[in-house]
Amino acid sequence: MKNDVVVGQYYPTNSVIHRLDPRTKIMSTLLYIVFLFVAKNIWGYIAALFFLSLAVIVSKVPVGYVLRGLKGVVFIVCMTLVFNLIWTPGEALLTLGPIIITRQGVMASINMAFRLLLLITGTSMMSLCTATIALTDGIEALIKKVPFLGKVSHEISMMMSIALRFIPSLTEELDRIMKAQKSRGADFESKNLVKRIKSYVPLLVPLFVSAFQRANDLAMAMEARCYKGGEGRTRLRILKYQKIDFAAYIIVALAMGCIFATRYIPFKLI
Amino acid sequence: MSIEVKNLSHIYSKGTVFEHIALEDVSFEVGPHDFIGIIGHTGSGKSTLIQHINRLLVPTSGTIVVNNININEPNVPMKEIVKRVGIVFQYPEYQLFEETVYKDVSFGPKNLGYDEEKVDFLVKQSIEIMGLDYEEIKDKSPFELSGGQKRRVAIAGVIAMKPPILILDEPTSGLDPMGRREMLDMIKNMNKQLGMCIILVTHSMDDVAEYADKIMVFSSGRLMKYGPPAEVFADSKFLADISLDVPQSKAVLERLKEEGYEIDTSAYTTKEAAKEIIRVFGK
Ligand SMILES: Nc1ncnc2c1ncn2[C@@H]1O[C@H](COP(=O)(O)OP(=O)(O)OP(=O)(O)O)[C@@H](O)[C@H]1O
Ligand SMILES: [Mg+2]
Repeated sequence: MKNDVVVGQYYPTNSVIHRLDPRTKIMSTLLYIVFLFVAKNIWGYIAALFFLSLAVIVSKVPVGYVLRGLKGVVFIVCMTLVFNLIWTPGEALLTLGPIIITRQGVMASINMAFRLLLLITGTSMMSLCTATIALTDGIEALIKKVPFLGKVSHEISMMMSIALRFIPSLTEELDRIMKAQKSRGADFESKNLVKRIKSYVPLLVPLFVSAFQRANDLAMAMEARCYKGGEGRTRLRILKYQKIDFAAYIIVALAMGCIFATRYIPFKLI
Repeated sequence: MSIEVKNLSHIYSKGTVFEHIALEDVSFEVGPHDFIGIIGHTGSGKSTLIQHINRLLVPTSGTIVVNNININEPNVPMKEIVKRVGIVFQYPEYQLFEETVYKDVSFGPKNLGYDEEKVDFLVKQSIEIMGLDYEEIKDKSPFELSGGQKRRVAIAGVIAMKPPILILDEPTSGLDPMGRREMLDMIKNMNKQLGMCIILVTHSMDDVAEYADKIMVFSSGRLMKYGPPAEVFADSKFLADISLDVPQSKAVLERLKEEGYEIDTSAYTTKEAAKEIIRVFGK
């Protein structure tokens, strides 16, 4: 289970993408997400997939790692697929008793599945290529620019960096508790859904207990070191755009332009 | 033989930048009533090793046979393995989750599918083996107990499954000196009175010297030495080389020898060392 969690996991290599300013990576990811929704046919997704694959190759992160993030969401994607497939009204393709599968339904579920999968792999790419500290620094710098959020940007980014910092600790903790309960004969792989949900109680109770304990310890430790919020704090690392960042922005703009252009490809693949 | 490990290797995150060799070509045998101590510096692979003995980790290569079954055969159910090997992890009190001590201790035996009567008997017996008052504690919430009591309840939860082999990963860490001694005496009793095979992982040379019949010494994922304490502690230079030490009592004898006294440094327990000191200085 531990290794299924890719969000918040950093995979260090020395690629160009890793060396980019975190703000560049965050903005590019946001743009990418927006354009996933701008795309309206299969060509758009193919283009997005192409640019994403390019980024993966350049980043030198093993493909297996990038795809591992999908394991946890397969269930959600399947659910969305099914719902879209059976509940979209339109021109009927296939009728199975009360269930009517429509052409629009098929289209909608294909669109949704592509969007979700591309969205998740895209965002996990960002966290694989950006160290958590850099990521939260970048978010803080970007939030500062938002007019009504500027004042609390430090608090927001501190909360985020703590949350991100705790993901690996908690997954490690979960792994430990899971092993301990497995050695007491606990079965987490039961086919019976009710049994399976029940089997998580011996995991979740100790996990919450230790999460509260950790939160308490951390608060104490921060106070003991005179933490008092963002006012007057100076920074150790000051973010500065480099030449590669400008190059990256241009490449991303071109890529997004391509995705936009796919809206006007007239012939349909399906 | 109760446990036979052959050419066991374990590599974490094989094939990624995080690749780490945690165990390398480890082979040993453990008898059914042995009391084994495992020592080694931090990160030497001790915890990795013990998790293999009940299939919580799968070896990168090598075989593990427990009571004549090869536990890495995928068709051997996990229940059959946990029946034979109980593991008490470091800080086991963090695994408690039930509303009452009774319910928590019964979790293991219930998972094994025992009937109520048997569960009842096992829970009572194991709480008592851990030196706790059954009637007084059974309906308390595990979260209102003291740290030391919590740990005992957690260990009771493992021995309630009656495993013939019990593995403990630093069961004494964080206990006061009195609590340490009591814990170790209880473990020794399980070995002597109940005939359980005990494997004790620890950082304390004194504890293994006093309690273990045989000692395994790990360094960087390799089994460097495996034998009785007298043999393992004979070479203090070797132990220092792998960031370990001899027991305090032996260190005292060696120091006296350095000072020029005619003293035999082979003793490694407090009792034996005291005898030797009295022999030299006593009269
Ligand atoms: N899940 C894991 N993924 C990657 N590496 C790991 C993992 N668990 C342990 N390691 C590494 O394997 C090595 C052996 O770890 P192990 O926990 O077995 O050591 P240990 O002898 O029990 O140490 P300690 O005395 O500190 O408990 C360490 O270097 C550790 O960093
Ligand atoms: Mg350990």
